[in-house]
Amino acid sequence: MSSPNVMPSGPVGVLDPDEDTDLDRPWVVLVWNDPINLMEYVTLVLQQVFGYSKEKATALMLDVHHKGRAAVSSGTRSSAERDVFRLHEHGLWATMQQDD
Amino acid sequence: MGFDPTADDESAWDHDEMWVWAANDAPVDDGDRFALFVPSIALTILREQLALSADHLPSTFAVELDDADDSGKPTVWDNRRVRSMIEDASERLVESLDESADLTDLAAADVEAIARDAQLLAALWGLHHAGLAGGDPVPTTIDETWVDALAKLAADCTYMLNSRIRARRDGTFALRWRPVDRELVASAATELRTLILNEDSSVARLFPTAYQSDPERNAGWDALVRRELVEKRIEALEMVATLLERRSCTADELGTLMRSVNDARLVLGTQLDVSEDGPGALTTEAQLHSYAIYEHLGYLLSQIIRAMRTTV
Repeated sequence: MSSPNVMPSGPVGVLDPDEDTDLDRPWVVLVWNDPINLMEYVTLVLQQVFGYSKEKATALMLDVHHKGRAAVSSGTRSSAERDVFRLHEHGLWATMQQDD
Repeated sequence: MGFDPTADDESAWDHDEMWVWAANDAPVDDGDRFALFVPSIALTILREQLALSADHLPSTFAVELDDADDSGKPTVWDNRRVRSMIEDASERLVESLDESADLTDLAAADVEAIARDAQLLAALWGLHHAGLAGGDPVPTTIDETWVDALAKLAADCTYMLNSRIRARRDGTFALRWRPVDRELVASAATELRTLILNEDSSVARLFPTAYQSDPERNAGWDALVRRELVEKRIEALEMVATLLERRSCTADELGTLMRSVNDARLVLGTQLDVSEDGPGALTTEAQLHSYAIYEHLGYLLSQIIRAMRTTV
């Protein structure tokens, strides 16, 4: 894992108070397939960012590769924003959406 | 991670685990030093089987290789020659891996010799175990997994001798750049820095949207994070130049380098229209040049990733 001094603070506090947000539904972070990132790079980044085991990170990477995308984390909106930020920082193509 | 000598390794070893590391730099520049950290189960198998196998050399050993020469005849190695090659390599390797030997401080020449002997033995005993070498069958006392251990030892030694980024046991990394690495990475980093600062359209890949189809939210996201992402990337690219002149670095520094090299590769790949099937048409000299850089960055990135794997 990276040590704390390279951990970005990430974005915080963009929750729009006027927005109709269903707090019960978690936000899901998706990583999308792209033809350029190396498979072993994606695996390593998932391990570094989320602390996943090599097995779990590899399984997620293969999902991304074969199915086009994979849900890599879920939680509150701000935790999803933090995750997306870190993935973007590493050059992964990540988006977030609220679970249906 | 790393090797836990108390771990009860039942049958095999983790093939991803590195068996060869860079030793800490010697105080004077008398060449690179290396350290072998072979899991005890593998080391035991190697020592035991090397001793056993020496007594069980096949009485005949006819190796027929597929690489037929011009006359169309397969190469058949002379039995005595093969036997003496095995004997010599075994003897040297037994000595190299002896319990009294200090495996944590080896010169490049020592590692080269281990790689050569282990590779030769893996190849010849591999043929023998597979029943392809002719001669007597291998006695059941000789466990086939030792061929795997020999091959892994040879592969890791060879890899580490050639790698630009070599993990050390203290968590830092030895850097052994070649001139071509310095030149290509430095120019790619300079180019990327200019593209980012000029907000060139080709760097869009580095700043993806966060919501699939919500322009309003994406605009908010961009306003929120773009500046920080740009700053971090520029900072990282400025550090790349220094790292290319250094002989060692920390894991954090290597992580920064990894992201920068990956960024440069992403942008080049986007410019070259790389898909799952490879690059788009490479018709101009400039495109061919860019593709060569793209490939070299990928090669270095793989080495960085492999070294970084020791940290997760």
